[in-house]
Amino acid sequence: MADGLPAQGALAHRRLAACAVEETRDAGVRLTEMPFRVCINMRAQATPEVRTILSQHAGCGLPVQPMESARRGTLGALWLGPEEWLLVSGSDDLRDRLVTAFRGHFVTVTDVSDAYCIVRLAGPAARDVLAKGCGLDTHDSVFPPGKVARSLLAKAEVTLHRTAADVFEIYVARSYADYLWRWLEDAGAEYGVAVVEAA
Amino acid sequence: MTRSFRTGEGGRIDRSKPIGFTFDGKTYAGFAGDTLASALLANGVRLVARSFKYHRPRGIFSAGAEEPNALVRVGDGARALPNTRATQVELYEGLAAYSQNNWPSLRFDAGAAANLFSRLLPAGFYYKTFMRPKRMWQWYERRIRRAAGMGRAPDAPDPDLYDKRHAHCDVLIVGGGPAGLSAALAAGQTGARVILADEQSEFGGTLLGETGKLGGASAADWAADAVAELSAMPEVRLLPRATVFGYYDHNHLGIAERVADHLPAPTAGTPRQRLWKVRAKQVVLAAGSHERPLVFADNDRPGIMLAGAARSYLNRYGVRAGSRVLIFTNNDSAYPLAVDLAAAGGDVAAVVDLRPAASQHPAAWRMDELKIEVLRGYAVAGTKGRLRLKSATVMALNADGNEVAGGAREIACDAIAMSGGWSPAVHLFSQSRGALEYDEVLAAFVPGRAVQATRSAGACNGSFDLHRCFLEGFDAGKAAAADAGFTAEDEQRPLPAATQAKPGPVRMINPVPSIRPVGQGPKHFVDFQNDVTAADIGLAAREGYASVEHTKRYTTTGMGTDQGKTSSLNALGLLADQLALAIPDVGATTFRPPYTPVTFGALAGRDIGELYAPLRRTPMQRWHEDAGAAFEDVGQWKRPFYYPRRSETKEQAVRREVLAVRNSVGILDASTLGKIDIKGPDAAALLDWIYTNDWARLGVGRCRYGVMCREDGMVLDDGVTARLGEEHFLMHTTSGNAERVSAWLEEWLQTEWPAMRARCTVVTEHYATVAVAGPNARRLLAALAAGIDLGIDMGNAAFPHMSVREGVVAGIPARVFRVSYTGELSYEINVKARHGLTLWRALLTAGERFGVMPFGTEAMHVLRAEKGYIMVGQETDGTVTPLDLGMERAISTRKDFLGKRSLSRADMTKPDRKQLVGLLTEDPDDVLPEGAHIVAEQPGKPPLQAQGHVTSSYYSPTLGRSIALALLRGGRGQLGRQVFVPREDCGSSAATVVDPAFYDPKGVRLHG
Repeated sequence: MADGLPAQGALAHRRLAACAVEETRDAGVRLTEMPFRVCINMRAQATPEVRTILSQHAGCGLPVQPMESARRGTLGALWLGPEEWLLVSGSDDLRDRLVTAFRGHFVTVTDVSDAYCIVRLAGPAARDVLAKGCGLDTHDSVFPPGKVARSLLAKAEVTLHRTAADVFEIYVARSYADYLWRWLEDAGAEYGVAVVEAA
Repeated sequence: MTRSFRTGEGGRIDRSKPIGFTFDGKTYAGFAGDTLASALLANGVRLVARSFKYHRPRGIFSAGAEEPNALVRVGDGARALPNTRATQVELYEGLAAYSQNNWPSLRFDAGAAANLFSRLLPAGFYYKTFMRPKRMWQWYERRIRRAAGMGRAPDAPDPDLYDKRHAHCDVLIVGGGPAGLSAALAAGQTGARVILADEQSEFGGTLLGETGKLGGASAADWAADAVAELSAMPEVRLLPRATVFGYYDHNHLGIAERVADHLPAPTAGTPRQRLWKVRAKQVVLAAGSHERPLVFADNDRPGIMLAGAARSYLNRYGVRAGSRVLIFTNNDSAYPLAVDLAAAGGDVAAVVDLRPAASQHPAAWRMDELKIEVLRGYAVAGTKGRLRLKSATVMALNADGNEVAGGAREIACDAIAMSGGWSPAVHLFSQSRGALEYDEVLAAFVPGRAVQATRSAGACNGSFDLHRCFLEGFDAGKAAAADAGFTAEDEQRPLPAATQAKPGPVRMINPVPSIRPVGQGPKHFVDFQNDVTAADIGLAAREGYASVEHTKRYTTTGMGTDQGKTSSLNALGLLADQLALAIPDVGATTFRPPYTPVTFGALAGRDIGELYAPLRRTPMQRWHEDAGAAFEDVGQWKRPFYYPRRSETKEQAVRREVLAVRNSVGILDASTLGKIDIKGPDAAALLDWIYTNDWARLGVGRCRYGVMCREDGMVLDDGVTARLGEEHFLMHTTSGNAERVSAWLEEWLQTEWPAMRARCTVVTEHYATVAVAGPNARRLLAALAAGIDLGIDMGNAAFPHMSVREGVVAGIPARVFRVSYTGELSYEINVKARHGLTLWRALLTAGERFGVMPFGTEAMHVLRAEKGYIMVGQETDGTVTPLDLGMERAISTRKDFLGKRSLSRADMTKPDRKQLVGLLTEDPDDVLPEGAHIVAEQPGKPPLQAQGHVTSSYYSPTLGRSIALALLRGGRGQLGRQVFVPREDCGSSAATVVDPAFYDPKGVRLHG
């Protein structure tokens, strides 16, 4: 970690590294915990000025259409609701840069990195696994890669981000991560589950 | 009986694959492709069940979902599935099935005595008989339930896996017969997402039992080709063995898929059944139709079945319904059975047609050629045979058809195939709130105006002619796809040419007359599953039940799992006759989901055991588990309740933890505390509106306790909020209430105060929180903190009570609040959740020299109760105002706030409202039960006037006696008075009303 302190992800107690595999050919789904990603909750009116500042300082556009996302390099912006986004990044100083950039504007940025656990669900059966617990239609015609939605997955509130044809990133409140992980392993059992370590 | 009723050839069974199975312990053999029903019939088994109420011997009645008689238990032990229709059970090797509702055996059933006394058991007999004495009803009910029966549920946990899933489609097609397959072909070729669900193992529906050719190929081959074509379409999903059981709002439909019920056991990892929750843009109902029985005397003997079923058994399964079959009909549809039976070398005793005129059906023209006697204008007036049919009495009818005209003829037969006409399967259409219309020609209800995006096609739409089924299905599928936004560029119409036949007339004679009047002697069954007879419906009408809904409930016709599939129209006809009304004027009852029963397993799916409910974990949860903590449910959290050591009881552990906090230091995992980050120029103004006290002048770095009310003035939540910056606050809510409070803030910001420049973000889970409490809290923190002036040397002023500092604790960036819920010197440390466990361990290590102890929620509850601090949800229940809690000082008079106007209502300021007080029992060891009522006088005989109730009650280790908080009418005016708490076991407890702050009322210790 950047600050050099020992840190535990939401699923540390499951010791996932010990179950991780390299070979995933037979697995219908691959599950990966994506720990310690920087997540910033941003609330603002998406004025041209705000959008310009964001793209200047963070290098990423602000999606203004519901359920859309934008990505530039390692930075992603996920539409969460009217005037609300989740900015995700690998760089620890994002919050500070944004606070500085938006000084004088009524734009609030709040670090919520540790409030989430991010689970990547990938593989040919990913949509089938989601269908077991989520009422959203994830068909390509409705929910193509890039789409974001907040919904229920099983009995946990999640933000669902489809990042590629068969890859979904699931943002779940940290305290629900263990439940959701167990649920995902159970739901995926029919198709074969492989636990994979984050790259 | 060993003789086989299997034909020499034909049918869709695989004669090269014999399958062994048992029924009531006896071994039989069938073939792959058989149902349990067809295999039993092939083996000559006629008696398969006892009826619901009269325990009459019953046989197989139908060949599908409408089966009311042949309900059996399939499987043994935990896997047993009761009340399964034998007509829908696919045969597998080793299948074990059992009859139900009989004792000691199916052949000799003691319950059949009910049949002898049946005149004493008319419709509604239990309402009439078991009225008095009133309190005995529960005793009666248990016995009635045992006598009237269905199968028994297994009592061991089901070892199999059940699953659920959602699905979305443009067109959902219900039923894979000629209409459904055509609809799927039409919709599929447009590229629309299609789900085709059929309850059978094989698609094709009635085509599978047809003998005629379609465009040169057999009907079944056409179906197979259609399925092959559909399988090749990437957006088409075929669901065989899947019953669409419910049609709900917004085109939401439920499907029960029997994934592995046709196998001895499910393949490892796959479910036995799967429940589909489908959202369909458009629905095409192609659910077919149900044949109706004829209501004649003793029409329920084993061997009497529906004519269409007999034909299905013959053509699809290669099984003759009997060695000598009598056909009894009121319409044309039974004639092809006579032709098929004759072709298969069967013996047709005669065709008895209620209609005097000759049938114009092509099959009827062949009766003379096949030397089959046709008795026109005749009726079956009675039957004989106890456990299997032996003969039928056939008599001519008078011209009106309302009486028999003599000349009884006894015809030996072991099967009667009857047809009383066909009722479209409008169940799902009716569930979708579609209106039904009565069709005089068909003598049946057909779909009328649809309410949802749904279409009916084929037999369920009243179109029984095959040619029309294909066309209607195709058109419905095409139109449904078009309405969902899909059209085919190059439309293909792969529909076969089917001969067109006009349906002949139906002669409704209901009930069929006999020698004796209805209600005397033989029974005329209408609803076979619920044992309702024509006499019962007549009685209901005579007793004044004019509404069809009342008659349904009174007689139970059309109720239960069967939902009147074969009985509904006959019952309506009988009622209409009694009331001298036309059937459409009587009206139809609503069909309810499920169409056929759905197992609890499928409904529960995987939401069982450890996945039943989410279990929220704090960053330190694993430590608590390893420490052997006892847990308490707080919302979906499992919070450490207390940490027992070796043989400690709960009381001992809590006492140790409480005293550690009072005497030295304890730490509590408070990560569950709700936290909301509030920013913006109007943040303080928002808090002023939300909380009852003042916020504008709170200094940066300071904290304040606040109470918030709903509009009605009742307490919503409480907690400490800190001012982190001029425009930045961090609000704490009670555990599990952050989402609710956040929604409350958002609602006001978004709907009432859109101009207010303040924004809220829930950050509960971003932080791990540890409370450090006790006289040694400062010393412990000092050992770990850097960059925070704790005031070790300078005294309280450096970091006073109710303030916040940022710095480093145990090397971790931290925010430290000096707040207290225990009454002791106390800090709450927030660090990023990822560092929570590190912080917790560091505090334990550094605290060793102080004897630091982790304490659980129970110790926390005791500590706060000793101080008289309220707990939202314990001292409040949605009817308690801040005034009731004695919080006048926290209610601002200088500003408005949510709920303020309500607090000034006369009722809110009444002196006799229930107010928070403390109670001290006379006996210091007497711990009052929480929720106990309080009375003013030494209690005598009830009724007693309750003056309030105990809200919290504990044994206080600090004070060495019991304490309680209570809400007492006019409580604050009663300090020093004695009250009484009636006890269930030992009279009552006397207690003195006191101020709720039992310990350190001046708050000296807070300032350490």
